[in-house]
Amino acid sequence: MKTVEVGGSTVHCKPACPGLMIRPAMKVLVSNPRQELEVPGPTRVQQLLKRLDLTPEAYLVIRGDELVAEDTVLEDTDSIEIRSVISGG
Amino acid sequence: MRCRKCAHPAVIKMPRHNISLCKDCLTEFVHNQVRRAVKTHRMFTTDDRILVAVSGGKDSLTLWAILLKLGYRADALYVDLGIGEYSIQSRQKVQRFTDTVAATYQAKLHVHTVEQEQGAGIRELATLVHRPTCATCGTMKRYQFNRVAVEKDYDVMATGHNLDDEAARLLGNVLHWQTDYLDKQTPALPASLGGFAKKVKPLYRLTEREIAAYAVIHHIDYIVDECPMAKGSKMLAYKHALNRLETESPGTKHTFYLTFLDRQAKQHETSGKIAEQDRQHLRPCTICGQPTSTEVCSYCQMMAKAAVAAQRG
Ligand code: SF4
Ligand SMILES: [Zn+2]
Ligand SMILES: [Zn+2]
Repeated sequence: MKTVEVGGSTVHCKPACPGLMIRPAMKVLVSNPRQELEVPGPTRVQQLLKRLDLTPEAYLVIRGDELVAEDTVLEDTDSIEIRSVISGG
Repeated sequence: MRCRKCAHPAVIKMPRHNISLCKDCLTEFVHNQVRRAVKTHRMFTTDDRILVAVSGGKDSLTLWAILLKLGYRADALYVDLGIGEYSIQSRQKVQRFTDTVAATYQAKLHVHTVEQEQGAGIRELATLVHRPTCATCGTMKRYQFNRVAVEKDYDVMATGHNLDDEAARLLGNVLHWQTDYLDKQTPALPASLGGFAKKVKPLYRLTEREIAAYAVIHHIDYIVDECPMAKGSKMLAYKHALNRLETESPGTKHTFYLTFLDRQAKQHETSGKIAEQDRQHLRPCTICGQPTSTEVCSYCQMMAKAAVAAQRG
């Protein structure tokens, strides 16, 4: 895999698509309703929630299995879960 | 972001207290809120035997974990409602928690399987008695928890209701001016009569988000998916509305519910009043003996109706 510098950040080129740069994106799993998304990083937790129009009071953001705070910067290589904390009963 | 108390990396920002906390300080915060709830409402002591109502969700499993950690004698009851995959998965989560965590404290799990004991799952029962599933479920759970608590001699029954639950319920009651419900909306309902267990809500000072954060930090494996019957519930709508307000003005939920409790406490000695009212109105159900204000309790009425409907087939 070849890497190039784009706007100060390193971008990976997939060898399978010559000349075409595919930026990898972080995998984001949102619960309730369950959705899987790909969002290009880097981005801060609070920006990610804003971008998806989610109320911060109703969600937690988990990277791997660690809770992360609002100002944490998330990278393309991260696997993120946005977990709803609201229960219905 | 650094922890406000110890400068370790923070894992959560809590706008309502205007602080960010690290794992250890959040744990301490949660424990302190529970201690304070228990003390303020004289919920129980380390001598009491507590029965925790567990569903496999974050609140009830976290409550069980905290009570054990704080040195209380807490067992649990799980009611298997027979709601397809949801019940199968939530029961597995409860069982796993029991085997891996509760067992190390010698704590016990009781299970009541509705399909086995009542002959049909909660959805089928609801259809038979022409009532909404959640109303049928509520009657079933209340009845079974009280029955097990009394039969097995527990001093107090604890549920995982949190600040969001209580604030949403208060909003619902106020919107409809259900004043008699308002009187009973307290974190500790006394055992008013032989046959009625004392009920407490030790998590009422904590938001859902704080409780979920505690669960994640302590690797409490709970069921994240909701009961499918909860979809479109009024409570969810109230919670969303309150969370919008909370985002705009942090502390709204806390002020709303805790100020209500303060006023209630000043107005009357609630526990005394409720106990007194109950004593006047309640008598044993002629079928099962649990306290009720009618001749036959609502659970026995429901089951009788279901039996007739099932016979007609
Ligand atoms: S959503 Fe309704 S049916 Fe499901 S557990 Fe809650 S009350 Fe029972
Ligand atoms: Zn700290
Ligand atoms: Zn009865």
